[in-house]
Amino acid sequence: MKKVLTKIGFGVVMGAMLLGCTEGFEDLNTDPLALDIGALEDSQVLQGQAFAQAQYVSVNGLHWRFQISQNLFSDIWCQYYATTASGFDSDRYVQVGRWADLAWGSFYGQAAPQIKLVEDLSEANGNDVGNAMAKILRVHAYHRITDYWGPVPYSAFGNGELSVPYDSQESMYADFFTTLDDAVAKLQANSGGSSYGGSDRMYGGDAAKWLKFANSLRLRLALRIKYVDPAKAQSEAEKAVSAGVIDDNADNAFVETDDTNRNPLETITDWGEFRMSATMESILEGYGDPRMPEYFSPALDGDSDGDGSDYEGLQNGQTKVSLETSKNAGHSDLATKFIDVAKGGTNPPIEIMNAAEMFFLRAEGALEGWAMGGTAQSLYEDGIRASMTQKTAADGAGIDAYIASTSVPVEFEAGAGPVTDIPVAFGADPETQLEQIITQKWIAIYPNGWEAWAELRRTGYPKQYARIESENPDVGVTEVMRRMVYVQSEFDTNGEAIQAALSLSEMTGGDKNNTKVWWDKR
Amino acid sequence: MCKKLLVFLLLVFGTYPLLAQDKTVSGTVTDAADGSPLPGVSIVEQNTTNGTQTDFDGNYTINVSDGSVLVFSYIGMATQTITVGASDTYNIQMLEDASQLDEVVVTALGVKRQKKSLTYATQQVDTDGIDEARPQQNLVNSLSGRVAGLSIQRSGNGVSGASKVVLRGNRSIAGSSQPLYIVDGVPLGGDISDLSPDDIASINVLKGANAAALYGARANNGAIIITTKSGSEDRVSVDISSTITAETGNILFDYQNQFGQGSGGTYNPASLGSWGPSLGGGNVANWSPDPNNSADIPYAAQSDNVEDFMQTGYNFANNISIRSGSERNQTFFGYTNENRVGIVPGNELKRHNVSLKVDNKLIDDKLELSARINYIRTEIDNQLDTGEAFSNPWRHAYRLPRNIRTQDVSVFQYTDDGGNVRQNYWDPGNNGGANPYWTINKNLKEIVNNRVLGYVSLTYNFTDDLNLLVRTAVDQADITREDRLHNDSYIIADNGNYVTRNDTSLEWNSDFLLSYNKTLSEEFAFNVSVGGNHRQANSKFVRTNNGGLNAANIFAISNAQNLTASQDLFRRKVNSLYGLGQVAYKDAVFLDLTYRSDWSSTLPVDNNRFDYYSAGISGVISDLTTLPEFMSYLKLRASYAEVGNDTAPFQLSRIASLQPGGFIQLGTVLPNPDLKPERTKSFEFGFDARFLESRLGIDFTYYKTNSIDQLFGQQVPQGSGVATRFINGADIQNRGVEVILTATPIRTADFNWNLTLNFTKNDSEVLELAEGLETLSFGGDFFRRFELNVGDEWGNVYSRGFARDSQGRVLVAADGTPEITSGQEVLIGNYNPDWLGGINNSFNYKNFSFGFLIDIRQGGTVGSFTNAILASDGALTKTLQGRDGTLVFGENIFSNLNVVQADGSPNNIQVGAEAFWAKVGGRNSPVGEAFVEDASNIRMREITLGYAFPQSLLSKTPLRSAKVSLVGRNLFFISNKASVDPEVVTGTNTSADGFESFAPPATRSFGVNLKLGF
Repeated sequence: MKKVLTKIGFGVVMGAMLLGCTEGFEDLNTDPLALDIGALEDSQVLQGQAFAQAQYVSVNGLHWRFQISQNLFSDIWCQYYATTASGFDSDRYVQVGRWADLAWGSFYGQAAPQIKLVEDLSEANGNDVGNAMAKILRVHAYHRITDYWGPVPYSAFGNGELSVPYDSQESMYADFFTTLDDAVAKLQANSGGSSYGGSDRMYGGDAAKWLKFANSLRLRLALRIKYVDPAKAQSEAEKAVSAGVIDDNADNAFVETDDTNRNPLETITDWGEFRMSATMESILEGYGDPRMPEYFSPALDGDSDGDGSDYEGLQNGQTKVSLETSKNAGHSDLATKFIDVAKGGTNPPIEIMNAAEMFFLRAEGALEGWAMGGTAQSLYEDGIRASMTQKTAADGAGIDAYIASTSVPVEFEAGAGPVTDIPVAFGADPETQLEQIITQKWIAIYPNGWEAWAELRRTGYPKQYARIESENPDVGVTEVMRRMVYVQSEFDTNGEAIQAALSLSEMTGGDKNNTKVWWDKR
Repeated sequence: MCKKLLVFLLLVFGTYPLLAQDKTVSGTVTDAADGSPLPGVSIVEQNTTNGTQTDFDGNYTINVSDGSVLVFSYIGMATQTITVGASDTYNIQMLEDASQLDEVVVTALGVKRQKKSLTYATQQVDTDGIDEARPQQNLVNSLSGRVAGLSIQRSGNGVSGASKVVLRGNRSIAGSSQPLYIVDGVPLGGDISDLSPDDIASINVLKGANAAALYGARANNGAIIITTKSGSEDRVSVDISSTITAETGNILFDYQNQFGQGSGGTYNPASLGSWGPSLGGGNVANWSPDPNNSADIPYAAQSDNVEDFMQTGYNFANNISIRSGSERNQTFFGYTNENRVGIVPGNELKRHNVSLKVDNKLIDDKLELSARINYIRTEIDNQLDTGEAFSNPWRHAYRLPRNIRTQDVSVFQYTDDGGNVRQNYWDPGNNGGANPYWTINKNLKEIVNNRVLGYVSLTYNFTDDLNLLVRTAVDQADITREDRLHNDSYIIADNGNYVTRNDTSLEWNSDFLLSYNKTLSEEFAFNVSVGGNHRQANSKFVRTNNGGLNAANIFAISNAQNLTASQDLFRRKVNSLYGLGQVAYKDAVFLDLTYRSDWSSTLPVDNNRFDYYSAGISGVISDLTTLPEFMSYLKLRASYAEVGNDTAPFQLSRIASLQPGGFIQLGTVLPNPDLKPERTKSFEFGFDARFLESRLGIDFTYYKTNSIDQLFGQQVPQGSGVATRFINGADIQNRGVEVILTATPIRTADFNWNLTLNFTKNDSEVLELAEGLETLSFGGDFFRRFELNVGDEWGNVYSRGFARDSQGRVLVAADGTPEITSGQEVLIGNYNPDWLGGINNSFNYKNFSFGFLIDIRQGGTVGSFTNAILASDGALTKTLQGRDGTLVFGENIFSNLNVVQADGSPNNIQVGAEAFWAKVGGRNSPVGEAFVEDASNIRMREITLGYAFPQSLLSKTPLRSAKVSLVGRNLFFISNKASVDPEVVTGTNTSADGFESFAPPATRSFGVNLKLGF
């Protein structure tokens, strides 16, 4: 019996020793397929890769995020496209809550923490050029978000709290300009420097190009506040122009794509859910615009309305019932280069700013009498030239003829009438000139619907066809959606902060789609 | 079975007095359930010491005096008596006695216990029929309706797929509420869907943490304990079983057959909806894009076009089992082959299941060696995708416009002028549409699952009282899946696509258990055990997606347009030590204690241990005191347990993921380095009472469980820098009663009727989530989202609803369509049933047996996404009304609602059905309120009719037993309130309940089973 007990004792002790042992548990509980964020702290290479991600996600590079952030909202509301999917209510001015929630999450859940990570890491590492790039990226990303929603979390982003206050748009724009000052100073101090190399898919980390982009962004933001704070707008615009904005297509702010990280249109065009808008047809067809075939394809069914052109636009705001019958074959899809690579697409870069936009911004500034380095007309025409050179193969003579053209938009279908009556040739009165500048800019910055919708709200141009139907009691068929209403997840998790935001003076209109954001004063 | 063991004991210890008798009678004793001979049945001449036992072929011979009474008794069977008359031969069929009291059941860690000593609720499942009425999809479905407290929902995957099994209600927010499966004392990594029912000796359901506490972390949801068959002790027996069942589908949607393709009453061959002109009007333009098929086609109602999509499925299962052995060595060999063909053409399953089990006694019986290995290979063709997946053929079949002829649509492809094979569909390129016949023929999915289960255990008996068990067991699975999507599969594979996936998983448990039993005196006995377990669980997932093909329909990774690959890894180790003890007083009062400590690698290193325990007491009152005569048995029991749980791996530090193309993405979850283990506290009490010589019994249990400190992601303002943070919180309470009524209304030598009623009522309540958190929302889709609300029942479902004014009146828009809430903010139902019930009857008459099982689910809701889409398609009967523009919302449609215009005046605006249903139904923003249905149903779950050939016939053949059975499963609904089968869900996750989305039709199966024993 003693022997037995010894045996048992031995066995139990062995067993207990084995089982009480937790050595190696910590390593075991570390995912070998991921990085602990601590690993990023000392590595410029990894920080560069994090920057690349920040850059790509801040423009919603991933197809579905692009769709629910931009394509289903601003692209439709600025009337680049009309929806052909019957269930897509946003073309009937319904801000579909689920999409908006995902759009909010795409920014705050994905892009914003990434931008903050890169900005913080570059700061901690004394990487001034990288830090300046991150700051510029931040301003670009957040201006798009506040332009959508108005007050949003900004200065308190990443506070780690259960309540994250919203900043007023006014204070955010003020901070945008000072942040750009900071970034510009850092880039000027590191003239000739670079950071992140090839991980910067826009400029390869070239500080000089980033400096120009910072100035250009300042010019865009300056014009944005033209009606709400003209003095500040003028001073910032003049500061930007004198420091040098993008005036050459070689410096365009385009995020390069590759096989893995693609242009989102490459994928979503395949889903067959939108077609060229009627407004687009009216304007481009009326002007005989050489950009038409660069932007859109002839309708599969050809010239169904008998206007002599195979390019067919669809009026926005189609009813659910009318869309039960497919509109895809009868209307123009995007041009081949935007579509699926397998079908001949070229996976083009994602455009966030081009030289033409700068010329049109300067033209608008010149219209106000600001020092923009040219007259309104010369800058307007330079804008068209820059756009034609960028987007088409048109030669100088062809461009000159276009600039001088007195053709006007046409009706997209019999009885509809043209959407507006302005020609390309620069007009005489300031209002016509403004409409021409913004209309041409609307064409030139295509497919950047995010910017086009903001400028539509700010200026009221380009003129649009009325929608067929609105299901939104606040926004009628002839009106324009003025902002996004706040999303359900924020009401669920950050309700107090929303209530505080709604008490801001710039939000007296309430949390509605027809409440104008702070800069929307015209 | 334990029967054999008891036979052995009886043979050894039995006494055989021999006295001179008048007459020799003989016969064969067989088991009424399967006709197999029963060895070791005790036969005693009443009021004498004269007796004998049957031999291994069930034969007996006994000398008795004329007119004497013979008593046949056998453990687990109802005792029978006959009076000896003129005949010399008496063949007896023994019936299982449901009310057997000294039943031995397998409890946690494989410990066998007398049922009467248990302090908690368990339910032994009658496994006799499960190899006959084989469920078409998943073995575990056999338990539906048979076990109080158990709810089973099937997935819509066709002939394969998981089921959602929940005992005593949902409790885990982020984890699983499903039980742990245990085979031969060791936990499985996966479920039991691919086990062969022919290998199973017994199934015991441990319903709550109280019973399962010894299994530790994963036992808070209860456990399902399976014991496999072993070899026999003294002879070679061969059993052959063959089952063939046929399966048919039953479409429940209420299709209209008056209007076909088009819109606004005008025919349009490209339309997905059925809002065209009235059917029956001659020929119309052909919808086919095939240039060689442009002849007009008839425009007539095709009332069967959806049904035509189905075929009769079948399941052909064959098993051979060989048992052999001696007193010291026993071997069981089983091979099962299954061929299943689903009701969707091409959806097939082939399975081979081989098992070998050996039991040895060595070194003067001091050492017991037991080992089992089970290899299972399953090949599944075209497992049905569920829900909205474009490759789910039901998504397309249900939506067939009402004029589409089967003969046209079944020609799913054509060759275009360029020689390319194209999909034959009315709206080529449609995002979300497809020809269903194309889907089943051109979107091919192949799954191969190799699984190995096995264990080796050594038990050393130091003395009669003291033994040590050492055991190791693995469950290793390797699953490969290849999806081959041919070109022209709109959106998902325009030029074809190829997706592969390889999942491997290992669950490896090694344990020891040292047990000591001692009878101290006549009154006191105790046993105590200590043990430990080392668990290692690894899984790895590798996926590739070609992102389109360069050369169409060459399914190779090298033919990728935009190859993406991803990899996931999970791994953990858990070490455990535990002890259990039981004190018995007079073999009638039992006190149970268990204690366990776990160390888990997924918890913070300095806080990675968590302890839990259970305590229980039971008293067999009828053994302690004399009860009134009608009461044959009464037992009371009560127990309390606390069980902890760890979390998933890699939750402690924030990570960044590496993205293809050289990008790094910061994780969006804020980890919690201080997290604590989850806990479930469980209390239960109950009684087991038998009356009238145990012909009537009631087993009652009340339970209450609270699952606290759960680990889940709390959605936080995303501006805080993370989308969710991982927290410890919540208190989910489940309370309920389980009642099992057993009755033997008729018991004679020839005829028996046994009845079992199960009743379960579970109330779950969200008592707490986290500080400042009143609701938790998850599982959102186009139709609905799922929310937990503090103070409310688990399982609230929210969707869009009809917008209401401040007085609660429903609003109508100016065009006559309803105003709809902008968000999914309306509570449309709760999916939890009010109660579940089962009625199980078995009848035996001579060699015939007959049984049926009725399964009842009362209450709860189901939302049907399919109905929402079919309504906007104009495919349902309810869309016939008002096509002429005469619907008035609240008056002749949804007339139960009080509908007003914006100015408050009663609604009198007329609207057409097409516009109305476009607004209310459809895919992107359906009004869930309009498509939620009562999920109550009563179904005939199972009917079996068996005939066991009598021994008198078999004795001239090599056959030992032969039985033929007719079986039917899910034969019909006795009542079903919904227009779908509420039992079929899109998946097994928490938010899949109460939601129907393109689920396959309800199915019924019937077949025949033949069992032969040699």
